[in-house]
Amino acid sequence: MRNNIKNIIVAIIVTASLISCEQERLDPVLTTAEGGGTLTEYIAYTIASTDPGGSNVNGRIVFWKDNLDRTLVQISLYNTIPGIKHPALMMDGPVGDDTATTLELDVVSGDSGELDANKFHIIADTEFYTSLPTMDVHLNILMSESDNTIIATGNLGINTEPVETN
Amino acid sequence: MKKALTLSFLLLNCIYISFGQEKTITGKVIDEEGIVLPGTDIIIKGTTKGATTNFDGEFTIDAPADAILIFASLGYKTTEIPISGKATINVTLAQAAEQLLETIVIGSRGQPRTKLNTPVPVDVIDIKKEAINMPQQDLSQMLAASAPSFTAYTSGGGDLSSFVSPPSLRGLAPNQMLVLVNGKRRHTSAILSSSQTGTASNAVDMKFIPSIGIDHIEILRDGASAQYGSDAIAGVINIVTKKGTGEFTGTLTVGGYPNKSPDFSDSDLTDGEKALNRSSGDWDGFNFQFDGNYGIEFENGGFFNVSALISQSERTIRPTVLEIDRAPLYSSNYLNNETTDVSGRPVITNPELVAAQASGDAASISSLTTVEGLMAARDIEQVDVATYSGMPAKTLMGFAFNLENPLSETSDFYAFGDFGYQYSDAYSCFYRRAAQADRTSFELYPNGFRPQIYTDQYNLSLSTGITGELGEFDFDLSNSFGMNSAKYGMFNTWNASIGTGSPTEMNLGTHSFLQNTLNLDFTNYYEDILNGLNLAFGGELRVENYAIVAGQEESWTAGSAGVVTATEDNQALVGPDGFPLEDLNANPIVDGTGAAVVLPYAGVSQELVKNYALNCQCFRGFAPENESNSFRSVMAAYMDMELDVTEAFLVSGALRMENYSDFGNVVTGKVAARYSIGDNFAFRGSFSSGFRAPSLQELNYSHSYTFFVGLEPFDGTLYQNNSSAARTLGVGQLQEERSRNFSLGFTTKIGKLNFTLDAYKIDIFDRIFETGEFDAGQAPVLSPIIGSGLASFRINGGDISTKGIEAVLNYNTHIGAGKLGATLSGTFRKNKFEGVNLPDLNTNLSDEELADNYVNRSLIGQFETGTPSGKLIGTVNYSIGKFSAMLRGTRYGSVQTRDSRERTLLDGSTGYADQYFTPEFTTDIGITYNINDKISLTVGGNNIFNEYPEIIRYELRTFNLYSNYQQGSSGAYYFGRISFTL
Repeated sequence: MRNNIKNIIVAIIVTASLISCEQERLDPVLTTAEGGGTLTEYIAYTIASTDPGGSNVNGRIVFWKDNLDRTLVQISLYNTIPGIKHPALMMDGPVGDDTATTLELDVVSGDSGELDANKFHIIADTEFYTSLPTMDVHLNILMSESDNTIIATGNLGINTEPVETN
Repeated sequence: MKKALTLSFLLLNCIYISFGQEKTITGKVIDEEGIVLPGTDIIIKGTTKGATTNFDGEFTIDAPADAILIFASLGYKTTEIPISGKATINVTLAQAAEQLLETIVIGSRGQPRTKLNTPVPVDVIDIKKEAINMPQQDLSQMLAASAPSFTAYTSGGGDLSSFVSPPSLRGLAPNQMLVLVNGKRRHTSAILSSSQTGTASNAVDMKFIPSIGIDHIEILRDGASAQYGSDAIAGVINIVTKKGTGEFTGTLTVGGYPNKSPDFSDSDLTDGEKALNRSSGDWDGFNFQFDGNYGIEFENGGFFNVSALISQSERTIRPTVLEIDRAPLYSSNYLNNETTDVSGRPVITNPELVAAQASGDAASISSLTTVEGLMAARDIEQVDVATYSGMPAKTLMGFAFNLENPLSETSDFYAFGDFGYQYSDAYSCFYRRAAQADRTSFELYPNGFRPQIYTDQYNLSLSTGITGELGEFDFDLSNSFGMNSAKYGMFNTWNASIGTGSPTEMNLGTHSFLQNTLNLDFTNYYEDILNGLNLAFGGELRVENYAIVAGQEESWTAGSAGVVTATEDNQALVGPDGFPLEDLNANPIVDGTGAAVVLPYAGVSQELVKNYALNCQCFRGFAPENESNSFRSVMAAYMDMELDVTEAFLVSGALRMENYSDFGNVVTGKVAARYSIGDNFAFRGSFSSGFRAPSLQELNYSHSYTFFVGLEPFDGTLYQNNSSAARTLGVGQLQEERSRNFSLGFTTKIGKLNFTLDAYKIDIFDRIFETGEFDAGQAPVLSPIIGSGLASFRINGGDISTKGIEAVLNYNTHIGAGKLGATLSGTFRKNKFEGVNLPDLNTNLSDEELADNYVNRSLIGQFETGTPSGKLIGTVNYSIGKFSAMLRGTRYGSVQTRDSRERTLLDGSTGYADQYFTPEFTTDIGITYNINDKISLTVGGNNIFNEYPEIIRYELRTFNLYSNYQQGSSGAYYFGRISFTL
């Protein structure tokens, strides 16, 4: 009997030690693609109105660097014309030199003053953001897709200092 | 794998240690007239193992040569015969009509009586005999399966409520019932958990008492405040533990839930929900439990018995999967990367969309801006991010002992107690969808999160005492100490208001309850006064302490992560893009002219830009203002008399005086009588008064909480009655509940049939409820205190009554060589809220509106119809040869819930989403095969036909899918058990 009791005690101790008090907890669902999260690196430039019709369209263009070194371009304009979509073109040279288009961005919604299709225009080139300060370019905002009148413009890169950066 | 090894190890060890040296004994059992007695039980004393005589009254049994055999046959006196090395034992049993009826001590401090001879109704649950075939292992669930008047609601969610199965009697609150262990008051849990009766209540937590250490349980279905304490309004449960068994017994039980969905075809689930809620078919809730008990008898007549249990249960998941349009995981802002932080910096919540844009994949761009598309891209199904309900995961350990040792020929020392620990994590929270911008974080939980609450509970109980003689009186001097503490925590959570640096697991605080009871009881039986008078008197001194210790600061603090403080004078609140900062819904924060708000003073001026949710999600930790350390003392003196006026007429009476340190003096009394007509029929009845002071938990618990209306979260606070909010509104201090209890019934015995029928009515005055929430609009005086939040209070809301009929039918007989025992018991009850006790409160509500908010119709509904008004249990036990079996059917009566407020219903109309749940029927089974005298195997199940309650109606189907107030919502459960004896 004594041996039996000893066996039982051993069984209980072994069992107790084998059973982890830690229960397996349910984990949160964390699946997501890379590149998400808060964007902290940016370069913002001023876009000034050319005021051809007194509209006074002005605002900023912000280049955000994401976690995968892509560049997300954001445009925020005041006084855009509701119902109109304003093309946004990145042009070679400083303001006034409107001969060659470097990059055609998404159109700006006249309703919101921001890019129409998505909040950001994506530039997949991972070298773009770091090369931006040395690029000889400027931005033009046109009246509409059928009217090439420049209603706002602003120097970018080597042609000006950012209005805000970190 | 580790668990499988563990179980295998235990199984092998059990088998190994179970075989020993034995002797084969044969014999024959006859009665005094020489007639053979088939079906006679032969038990090896101190074990549950034995044999049964065949048609010729013959038996064969293997037993240790020094063992004692117990011969028991229905209607005959049980006889013990030592084997003493003999190989043949022939036995003659003498007739004894009531020998096999249990004698009970509860409800009377006098001589033990059979349950048919008590003046008040008593159920006796023979745990040591019935446990082997029962699927239930938790003591409260075992009782709920056995006694229809007893309920033990198990919550599938609800913050603190998943950690206790609060036991209750006759549909009243758990703290309106007293639990004794070996006649001594058991302490309650520190947890104030919701109960089936609609109001949060502290309850005795029975899970810490190993069921294998219990001999039997007596359930007194009658008010007994005058006898045992003023809070025994609904009745008393007495747990009687095992003594010297002379053996080691052990059981190892493993089980699980098939998790098979019921037939949804007749439910009002939408077609989408029918598909979403169909279970995967994978078993869940796997559990195992090891129980062991060992008892020895001392040569001086004393004994020592020790029990242990170790169990681990995995969670069950019974989710409420709503369709995507009702519970979208993502918002439009989330899908389109339009979320910003407090500085206006973008938060890329949909990097999949960015990648698609970068590659110019138009189809993916279109898909990824929909909830379904992004979920598919992340391989997330709606069930993965649904609100979960179900049984919590648990790890439980318990140890108990029972000791008695004679000090002299007339005095004994005794001690018994237990220690237990449980870790448990439960579902108590709605899923925090990523669409809910105020309380989700892409950095921490990109797809939302499901906060889960857990507890580490410790429980200790120790009773010691001395019995003896003092003059002509027997005395019992005892001290019972009990302590329960629960440390709460939450994981998969955060405090949004302090930002992403918030911990994701938090200590929410600790509750503890301590009780020490000193008793001195005297009894004497005067044989020469009429047909016998038992006189008992005594006193009690009880001290209680309840404490709340605050949790870590992050769990209750309101952070400033969403606040911007000016860093320069006249600072415009614009982001890097030059646009105004945006609130949580991406709305610009502008002044009356539409321009960005300007903060005039650097370092001083502030603006709440992001109204992030405060505190730990979803359960605010207990804060310093919730802390409590309260004491109470209670002194009591009682006198209890039981007089057999004649052999047929018994009267009893009790009077108890108590003094509460915080509620003054109270006197309660009870009278009961029983009158026999012939040997087999008796009337019985009783009247008693009761008094229940609010528990320290009810008096001192306060908490702020998050609740939902639909899927929208709000925060509110349950205030103490001595708070400034309560005083301002005009809510007074909590007062005691008083009660009257009437009972009338009869008992009869017709041949092998025993039948008891009792009717009762209990009136409770000033019953404690919780108010609905008051806002500053309803009570402007609260505005400075609660702001835009909500306030609720605990109140003596109204008078209630409950009346019902309880019937128990027992039948025992032999069928062939087998033995049959059948029990049919039922309770049919009607609870009624008699009316609201409405004080003059400082609100601008009409009397009707105020009354509805003071005691809301949903609470009244929960009390009146929220639990089955009728419950019927039919049990058949049959044993023959090496087999024994239990078959139990339980019918749960209908349940009706009442909605708390009017709302838009599914059909577009406005009204209350009340619901009627039809009666339910479940079947339990257990079949045992005794391999030999040492080992037996049992298989069986609970709710074996996988019956689920009805689906909760559409409007309220946001947390639970099924009602929890009938058979529960886990579905079928199957188990296997090995029992062994040494």
